[in-house]
Amino acid sequence: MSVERKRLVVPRSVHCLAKLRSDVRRFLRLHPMRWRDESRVVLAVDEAVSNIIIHNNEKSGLPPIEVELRRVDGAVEAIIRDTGSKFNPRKKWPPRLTRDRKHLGLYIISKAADEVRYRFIAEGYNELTLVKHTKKR
Amino acid sequence: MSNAKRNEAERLHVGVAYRPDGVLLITLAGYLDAGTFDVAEKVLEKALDEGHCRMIVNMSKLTYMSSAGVGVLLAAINRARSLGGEIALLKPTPAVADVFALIGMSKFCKFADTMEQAEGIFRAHPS
Repeated sequence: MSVERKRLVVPRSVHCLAKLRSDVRRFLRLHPMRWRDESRVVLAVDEAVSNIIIHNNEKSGLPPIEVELRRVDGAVEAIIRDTGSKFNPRKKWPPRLTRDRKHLGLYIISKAADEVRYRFIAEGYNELTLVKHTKKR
Repeated sequence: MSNAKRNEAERLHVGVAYRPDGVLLITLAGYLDAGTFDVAEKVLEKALDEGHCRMIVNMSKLTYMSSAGVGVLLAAINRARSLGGEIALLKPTPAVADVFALIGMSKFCKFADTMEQAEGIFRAHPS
């Protein structure tokens, strides 16, 4: 099984998101996939990194966020690593559209990715893995 | 303004046009994400503050939208409705329409494929 990888280093600024999306898209387009799958991978990665920047930026001097993209047989994985507070990415309740805007990003991640895995590593690292299956199973 | 912030501002263009029928036409072009949503938010809030609760938001040139953009639109739609108005979302691009579908907004919002359809929403619900 061959694995292609790309490692991206993302500064903790919302003004770097457009470049992140462009880099993710460039990696995905090395092997064409359905536009909706590509669009949802880009969206899920953008939401995850945005969430870290917005909610996990309380300490100054934190290192940049690392995004590792991997293409494995029949799937694309995005592994997002950062130092910061523990969080729960598995909040899957549907948003109350008439009331609040909270947790929309986490909800979108849960819908856009086929699998969401999270590890809080002892050294203080968060690792979020988003998987999109590119072949119908 | 930093260079990075200036570049982001250039990636979201917001146009406002006052129509003779009183429906405000707002055009969003570019990216609506966590780095640009505040630009759109200010325009929509200002319009609502001025009493424009009937709007058409043209999304035909909006190439990307994340939850930050969804949040801005949701807040504006809810506020417009509370004022007896409505916001019609005109021709979202496929990528943007997919985000609405993921969240389950397809039934919550008023979508239109053409300007005529958008205008029809306001004829059906005059203020």
